[in-house]
Amino acid sequence: MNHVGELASAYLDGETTPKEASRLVAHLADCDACQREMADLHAARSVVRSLPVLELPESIRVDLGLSPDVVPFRSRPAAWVGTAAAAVMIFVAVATAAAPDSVGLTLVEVSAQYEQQALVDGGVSPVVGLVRAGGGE
Amino acid sequence: MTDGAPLSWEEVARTHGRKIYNFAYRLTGNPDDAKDLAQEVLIRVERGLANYTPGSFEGWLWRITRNAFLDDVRRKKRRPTTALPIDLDRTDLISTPPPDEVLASIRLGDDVQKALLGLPYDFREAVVLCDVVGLSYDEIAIAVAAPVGTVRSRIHRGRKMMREALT
Ligand SMILES: [Zn+2]
Repeated sequence: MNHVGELASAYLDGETTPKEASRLVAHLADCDACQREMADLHAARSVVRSLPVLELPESIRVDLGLSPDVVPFRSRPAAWVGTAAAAVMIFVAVATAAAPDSVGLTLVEVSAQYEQQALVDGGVSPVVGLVRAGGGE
Repeated sequence: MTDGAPLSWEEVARTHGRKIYNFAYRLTGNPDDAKDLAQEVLIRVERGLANYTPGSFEGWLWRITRNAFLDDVRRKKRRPTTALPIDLDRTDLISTPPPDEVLASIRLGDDVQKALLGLPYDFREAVVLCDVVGLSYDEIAIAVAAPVGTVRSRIHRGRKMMREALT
């Protein structure tokens, strides 16, 4: 197949079909360029997902006449917030080792830093398979 | 949330208000605009719930949100990209990690926010709906009224632009 292209982002989001995913993983095993591309895309995805989650301003609740008892914005944990899987760190480490001269390293490092406090998770677990296949471990 | 389940407006506000605000903030980079937009969206949701028909609730909600944003942009005749506030309100942060980490995350977050604001609107919207709001590609497609293939392409290209902006 050709280079992974758009499939790469979809894969990171868990939005590929099983067939697409296996084709992508097989290609990555033999293509350094796509491995680097994958690492860059993952880093770009991670930094946005790791942006701090902001609280809904109290003034909105007041302006809309919502009861603080019924709508306890501040006290509720965010159901949509998760933690980053260790798999992400493994992926970043492997990607970094595989491409020591990649121009994307700075971003990858920033991404790794962000993962320490990642706030949003999702579609991450397939990366474990990617690392094993792509990293030849 | 179960699609088609009876929803009260306060339930929607409680479960989705913060997400709507975060979407608005990341799209505009401006707390005042984000607040106005979130409030407008919640008002539209209150009006619209009576006519809500079972289907993709997320797609419905985010379509309302997106349309409110675009209407707001047109009404105020301003560009979607507005200036980044110099100071982030640190009390707005949910978690309270050690101060050094807070400062580091705000500094890095500023760079990421600026990069987002540099993206053309369609790409910024797709990236924010995917990576900030956490919608599936199908839900984003409904929200932005575009085919899933287009959504996939916008997210991918948006991330490539982010990567270039941050390198
Ligand atoms: Zn390739």
